[in-house]
Amino acid sequence: MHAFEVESITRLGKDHVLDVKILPNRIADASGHMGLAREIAAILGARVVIKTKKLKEGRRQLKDVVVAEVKTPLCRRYTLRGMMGVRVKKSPGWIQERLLACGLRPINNIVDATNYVMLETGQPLHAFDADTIGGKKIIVRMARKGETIDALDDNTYNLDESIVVIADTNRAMVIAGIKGGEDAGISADTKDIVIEAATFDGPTIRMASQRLMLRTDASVRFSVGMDPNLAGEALERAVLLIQEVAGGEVLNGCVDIYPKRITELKILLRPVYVNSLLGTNLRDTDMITILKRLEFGVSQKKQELLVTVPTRRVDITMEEDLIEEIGRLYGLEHMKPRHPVGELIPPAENQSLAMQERMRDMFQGIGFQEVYNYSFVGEKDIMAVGDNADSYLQLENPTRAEFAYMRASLGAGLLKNAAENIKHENGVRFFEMGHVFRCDGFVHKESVHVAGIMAETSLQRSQTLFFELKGALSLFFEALGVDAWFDPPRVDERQQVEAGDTPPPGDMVLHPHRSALIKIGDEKIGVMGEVHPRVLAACGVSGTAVLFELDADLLGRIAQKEMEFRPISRFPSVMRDIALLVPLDTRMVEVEDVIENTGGELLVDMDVIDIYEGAELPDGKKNFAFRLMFQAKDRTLKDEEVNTIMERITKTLEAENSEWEVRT
Amino acid sequence: MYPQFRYYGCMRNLDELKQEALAVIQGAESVAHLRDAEVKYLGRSGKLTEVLRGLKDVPETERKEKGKEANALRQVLELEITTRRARLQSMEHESKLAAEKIDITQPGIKHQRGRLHPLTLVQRDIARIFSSLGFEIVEGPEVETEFYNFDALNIPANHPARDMWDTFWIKNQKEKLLLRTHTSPVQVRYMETHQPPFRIIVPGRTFRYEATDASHDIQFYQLEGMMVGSDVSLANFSQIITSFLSAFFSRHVDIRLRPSYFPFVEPGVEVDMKCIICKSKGCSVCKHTGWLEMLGAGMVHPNVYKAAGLNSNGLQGFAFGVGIDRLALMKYKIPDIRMFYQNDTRFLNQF
Repeated sequence: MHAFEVESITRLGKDHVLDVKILPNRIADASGHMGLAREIAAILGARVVIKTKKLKEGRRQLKDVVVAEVKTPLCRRYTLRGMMGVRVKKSPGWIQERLLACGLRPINNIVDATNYVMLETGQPLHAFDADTIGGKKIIVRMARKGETIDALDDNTYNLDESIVVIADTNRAMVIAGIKGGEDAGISADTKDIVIEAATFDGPTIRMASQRLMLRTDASVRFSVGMDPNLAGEALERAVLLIQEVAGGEVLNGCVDIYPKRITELKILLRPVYVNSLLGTNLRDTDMITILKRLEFGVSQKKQELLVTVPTRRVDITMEEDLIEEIGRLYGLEHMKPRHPVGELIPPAENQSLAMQERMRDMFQGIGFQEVYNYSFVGEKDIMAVGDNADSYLQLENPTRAEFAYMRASLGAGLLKNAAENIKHENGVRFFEMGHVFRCDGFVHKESVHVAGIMAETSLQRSQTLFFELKGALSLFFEALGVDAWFDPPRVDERQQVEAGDTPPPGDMVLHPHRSALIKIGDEKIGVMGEVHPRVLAACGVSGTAVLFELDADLLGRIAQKEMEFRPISRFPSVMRDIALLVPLDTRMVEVEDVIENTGGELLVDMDVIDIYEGAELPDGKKNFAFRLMFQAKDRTLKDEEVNTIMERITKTLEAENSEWEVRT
Repeated sequence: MYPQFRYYGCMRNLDELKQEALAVIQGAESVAHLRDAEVKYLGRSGKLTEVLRGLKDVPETERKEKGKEANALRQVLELEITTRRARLQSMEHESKLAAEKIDITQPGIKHQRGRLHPLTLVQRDIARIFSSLGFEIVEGPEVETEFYNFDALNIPANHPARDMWDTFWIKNQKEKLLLRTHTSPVQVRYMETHQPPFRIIVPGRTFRYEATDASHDIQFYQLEGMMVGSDVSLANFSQIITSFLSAFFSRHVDIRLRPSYFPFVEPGVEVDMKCIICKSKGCSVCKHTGWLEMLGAGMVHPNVYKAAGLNSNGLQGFAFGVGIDRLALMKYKIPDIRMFYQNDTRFLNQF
């Protein structure tokens, strides 16, 4: 509740293993047992006692065995000690047990001792066989392009100039901060050893670890940027432990290359700000007590506190960091919730979101069920809708091939939903609203689409299904207050559809003779139509399906503009019906266009009341019947006026096409 | 005909006529019969009509008196016919309606019912609650730049904290693009174009490159929230989130804050909620701890204000992120997060 989350506590023999989740900010100081002990002591108000022994150096000089040189500033500190005459064997049981409990595999007493100290302190260490160091010289440098190393894990890694290595005069011995090489490792015959404790630049190690795809206990620690001051302390402990478990004599002197010594940071802390940010009423003395428990130095400076931060706390660099320390040790559970106080500002309404919600409501209202599909599609889906993968955003690291691209339309997902659900339903109506993506070279476009599908198991319903959808959409547009119309796609527009200009599914998805572009004015906002039988087969839909897809962003913008009151006429309207016989291949829109254009502004509405084909009619003909509504804004229309218009419509219709015959 | 009239042309005859007519009218068994009776007495050549017509032959001294009586009779008969007709009509109506009886226990004719996805419903709940608390709803792109998703949120390249977000990267783009791992980038996008104080929520789809199981999927919805002013505190956050969770789950909800780490907040906290399923007695959902991990939050890091081009001096406020799918799972007691994206009607029909 004050620091870290304990994931589990398990009993192992006499010991208990605590699995504690240390987040990246505290790895540097708290990933070792000592750090955790300090943390617990701070929380409990206790003191940490860390026992250390004094190291006894022998007479022989380290510098006679090995010298070191650091050639890159990315190595912040480099320390070495040497030992002679160690006996490599298995570690004593207690070390092995503790390593195993912490998830480390015991290897031999030297390696185990370095790992043991890493677990204690958090500082990774490395031991070399002194006899294998070529030229008796250790060089910390950047790897060369093309350089390789055979690592202890039996893999060979290709290095490059962004990776730091620990080398001798001949070759790289260690991938710095990540993994040791096979050649310079401790073997059963090793007698003399050199032990290293170093500190490297965090981001450099993390980058190398990612590039090599090699994550180790050392790399995880070094990646966060360890405290260089820890290296010296850890090195002493490691040497002492090795001596205890492997004997040997410690060489006189040590290497310590530490060009830029890290000193303790001093931060000004304003108690007023502490209470303001946390919403607490802590006294200065409470704050000082907490900081001191964390082993921070504190001195009072008028209204402020000057806090000295131990260098191991690499996570603390500013005032807010200290406030967090105070808050968590004080106990967040003691902080009382408080209502914010401030100006009452009504939130601005998000217009586009409000429009999207309206569209959702409408589709729900006309019987569509909302679905949420994955934003990912595979090559197969793209092929199924006859699209080209080049215009799809592709993932660099997909979880699987079916999810390798970002969807460019919602159609593919809806077709899958229909295919799946029609197995246990007679018919389905689905809609989805979501983000879709397309790219053109390096430019990509993200937009919000809304799309829907109506599918029926019965094949007979295919033609009515188209008109059911058209009717549903007409209702939708009417409710939205926009004047949308359905236009058969022309050849040039089909190409534009493929280029991703209008919302896909493009022409390839839909039946070429049972599909339409949906436009508002001249602006294309979508497509609709029967799904192409080829696509139905590819998607495994048994039955018939009609699909629509609209650009919801564009539609929303237009709808916002179009919502405007139109005055209601106070004068009565006059209804007239007109019927005409036309050849079977006449499209209704041709007739409607003539009526609309001839009717003039007094013709305010027109409804289709009948479409009939049948034996009673002359061969090759069908009958259309319309109800026309006439109304003036400023007067009551006279019968004669309307008669004149009707006559004009009749004449124009018959003149337009000699095969059209008006019947009254 | 006229001689007959003369025969009726006296007071006694009118009485007889009245009795006769009333009997016929009251005896009529259908609207059609009644119509016949009406014709018989009041029609163009009906009996009473003829009496009235014959008045011109009555001596002037008696004419007035006789006329009065005859007209009174006419009114009586008319009223009687109207009454009788109303009665007959209602009887006929009743029998006709009785014949039209239907079995109302038969099922109604099915209509297509539309439904909204549970995640839409939950997002609407969230939007409603936060709107009432004065928060504006903001959106952002799902394909984000590395800058907004990470750098601007104080997660620089090669920072170990980046490992906290397993990321999908987009191939072949000039600029490094990714699928946003949280809706937090919108914090910065919003602050770049607005002036404090800020009170926003950002619901939206997010992505994580990770193995899926019952509580993790590669896509999910996140709700980011931010409130920034001159004196917004962590205690304020505690209150706002308690209010939200209580409103969302329609009951009082207890929370607790635990210290945590997210690079874009300092201090950072994690919020647990007392398990609403077992009332914190311990169940499988809360892993027998009585508490559910709900969200991450904290006080906006000064570097985030700076990334948005603001002077961080004098600005303080909180930000939080909560999984919307997780809220929905708990609200509807759904066992598997992946059900949201399978779109099985047998699942969707339940909302």
